[in-house]
Amino acid sequence: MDSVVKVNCMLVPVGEVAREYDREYTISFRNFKADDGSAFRNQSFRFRTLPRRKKDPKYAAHDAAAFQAAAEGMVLLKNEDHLLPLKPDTLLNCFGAAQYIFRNSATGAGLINPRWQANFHESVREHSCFTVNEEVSSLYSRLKDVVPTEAQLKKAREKSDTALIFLSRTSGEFLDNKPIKGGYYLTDAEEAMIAAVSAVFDRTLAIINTGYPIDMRWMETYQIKAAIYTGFAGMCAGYALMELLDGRQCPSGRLPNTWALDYYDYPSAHNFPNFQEGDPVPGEKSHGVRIFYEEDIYVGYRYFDTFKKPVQYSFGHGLSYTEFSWAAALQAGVTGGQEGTSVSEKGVSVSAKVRNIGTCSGKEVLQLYVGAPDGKLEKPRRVLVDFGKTKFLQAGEAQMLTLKAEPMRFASYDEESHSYILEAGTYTIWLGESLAEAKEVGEFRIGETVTLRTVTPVARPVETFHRMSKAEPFVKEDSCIVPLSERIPVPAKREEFPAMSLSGTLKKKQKSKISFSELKSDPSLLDPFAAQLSTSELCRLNVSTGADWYMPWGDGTAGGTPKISRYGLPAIRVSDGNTGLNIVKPNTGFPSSCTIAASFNKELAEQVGRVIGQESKENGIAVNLGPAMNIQRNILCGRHPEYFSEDPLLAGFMAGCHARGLEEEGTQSTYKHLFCNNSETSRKGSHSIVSERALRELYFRVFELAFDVQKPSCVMTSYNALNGIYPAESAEILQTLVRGEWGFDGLIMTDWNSCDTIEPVEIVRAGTSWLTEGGRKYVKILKKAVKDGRLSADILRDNTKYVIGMVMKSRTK
Amino acid sequence: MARFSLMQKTLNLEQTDGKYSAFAKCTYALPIRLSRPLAKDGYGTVEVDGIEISREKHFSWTPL
Repeated sequence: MDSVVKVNCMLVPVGEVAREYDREYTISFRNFKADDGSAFRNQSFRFRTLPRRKKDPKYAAHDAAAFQAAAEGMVLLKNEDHLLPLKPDTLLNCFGAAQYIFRNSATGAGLINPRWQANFHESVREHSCFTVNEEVSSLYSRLKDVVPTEAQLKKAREKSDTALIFLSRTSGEFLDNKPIKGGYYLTDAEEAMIAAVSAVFDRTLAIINTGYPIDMRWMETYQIKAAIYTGFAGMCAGYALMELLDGRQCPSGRLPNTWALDYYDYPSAHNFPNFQEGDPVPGEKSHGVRIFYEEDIYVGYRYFDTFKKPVQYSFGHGLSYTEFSWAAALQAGVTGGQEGTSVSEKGVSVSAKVRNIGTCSGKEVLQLYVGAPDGKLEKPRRVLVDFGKTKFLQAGEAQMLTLKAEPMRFASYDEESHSYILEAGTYTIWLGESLAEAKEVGEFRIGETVTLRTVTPVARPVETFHRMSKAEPFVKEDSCIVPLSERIPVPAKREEFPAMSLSGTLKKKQKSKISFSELKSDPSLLDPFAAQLSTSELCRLNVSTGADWYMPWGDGTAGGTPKISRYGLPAIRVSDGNTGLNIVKPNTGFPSSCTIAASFNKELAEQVGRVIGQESKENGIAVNLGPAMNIQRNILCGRHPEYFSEDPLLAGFMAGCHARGLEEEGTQSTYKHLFCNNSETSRKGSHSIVSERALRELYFRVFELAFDVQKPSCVMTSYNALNGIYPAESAEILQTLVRGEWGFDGLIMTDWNSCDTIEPVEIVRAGTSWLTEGGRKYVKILKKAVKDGRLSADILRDNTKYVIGMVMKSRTK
Repeated sequence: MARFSLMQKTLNLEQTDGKYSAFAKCTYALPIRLSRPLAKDGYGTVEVDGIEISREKHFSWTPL
């Protein structure tokens, strides 16, 4: 038990004993003592396990989409001696408690509530011809990793030469993962179990069921021949794993992030809240964490590739049961030279004929990289500029893939001129199945530096800090915990942005009342409709109604807008659900976004969004609070599985496609979290200190690329501060960048309960339209601010128009 | 006298982790509310159907 003092809630792992569906159990508490020395009453309660859920034929197509996402998102990391696929009648010796804790989703906002699912053992029974050696599995039925005895191992080996080792780690909102045993590293029990099993079985396969990369050096130490990374693969994870194990499916997933040899090889490792076991976690309302993004533009493979650091598995890595060959032809290269030439229209285009030269059908992924020359700015060695995936190719079948990249995809941001530029020099083009395997396929020259776009600088750092470079490829600072009052070192810059109405004062009094139905038929009535609302109504609309996820009688939604009866304005509901609706009613549960990204399949990402969009409408949810697409800066971020990738292009494209699916089905999407929500520790008091270039090339870029694919209906600001100000209260970030530069015309909302650390009136003044999770307390605060003259009713009204816009777009009944 | 209460009376074996249990690192768990904070060394015995369940995985916290 963790040594947390003054706690008054416990989570008790009753599943260790309560393993049967639809059965009543008794839980008893004895001999507990309270902090005042008094004894707790000895008590017993009855609880019940729920019946196992069944498939609903009505949703067969949705199930199929979830299955495809799981099968294409799992990654075959290693497969020596063609250990996989296994013969269908193999007896599996399964080691590790994780065989009973087979996770299919992240927690928090990334949690799914699947209509049905099958755990590992159910999947073996129901969806494979394998059998499990129950004698071995029974060692782990109490969810503890135990080391089997020599006799047990000998007996198991006599029955079958195949061993599966299971490792699992949870991950999600609220808590970052730790670089400790049981977190990034193996526990002693896990390692001892692997050592014992591998000494007896030479056909050993590891099933890695974690939400983030973990230490994998033991694979070499104990000569484990094969490994599958399942990630959190949704409700069909078990069935998909069966089909990958027996070869009915050919693996085609690729890692969307780099797996280093050791956690501390990641350049962000020291600038991350790495709390050790037993460390007190700072309260987010009292303490903050200052995090210097010293690694700058060198995040993920941009670091390992540029500085030639060895890795366990490179970005884009993933094996197959079949083999492919490809031959590429460079179709067009950038040939510009003078500023103002048509260079921005050309870019790079490469076509490759991909042929399946193996013996089974499968899909292949090709990744296109461009390396820009160092000049005024130093550059990462290579950046991903496009990717593509074939259809299922039968043995011998071929398909042409064409990958294209406009120049912005390999441009660099110059902080001095506030411009995206292509510097003069030779650019190299690589193509391949992964970053490590990519081959040079061509090059092009740019004679003189070309400016692609000049922008207004926003969110510049307000303090200097060390930035990693080729001359200084190391970090100097550690993230540090500070009292909240000292977190942001200089006064926020909001004074530079005096409150102003975004569309000027409106004529308040109308001749006659405009109803919401009249507004829906004639959207040009939005201004007069908003003008007739009272201050009280404006305040109510600027604040979300309460979430329904705390109460047992709630529907699990995250909140909504209030009904304003006198104008016929209906209430709408919004829900979490990056990869499945996070509501009480079960629905389709897809893999976490990181696993969907591993498919490298844009059509699949869109299909996922489409299904969630359809089920949102069906369940009366107007707005889906996803996708979450922050850059995977550090692998131990609790929300790592919820985010797509360490690469902005892969993350932006996959998130954009997901959002397109949602929007085309009439459900509003929400891009989140703007910006740099890259750790969970004290997240409402966290301060990300980032260079303008890193923001432009990574942390803003991922959203910008997603915007190129699909403009969302909503965006959500992050909990953390960025370069001296919370984004939710920064008119510079919201108005200049998001609305101005990116042309966003939808709703801007806060993340839930952001007002725990951000002043609500400043949020509204900056143009954030919707305070979430709000409630009456914040309605009162806004009303008082209007009365006191600290908040203009015009601003409230302008913000309200976006809220009304959200209600108007609702397709729910 | 301090008392326990079950925050939910059902367990969904199809959901390994709950919405808030990432920070608990605790699987297949039931949340229990205590009417008073627990003493640092005040942890007693929990049994399910008479079988004691392992203590090291229990997790305690203050409500969000």
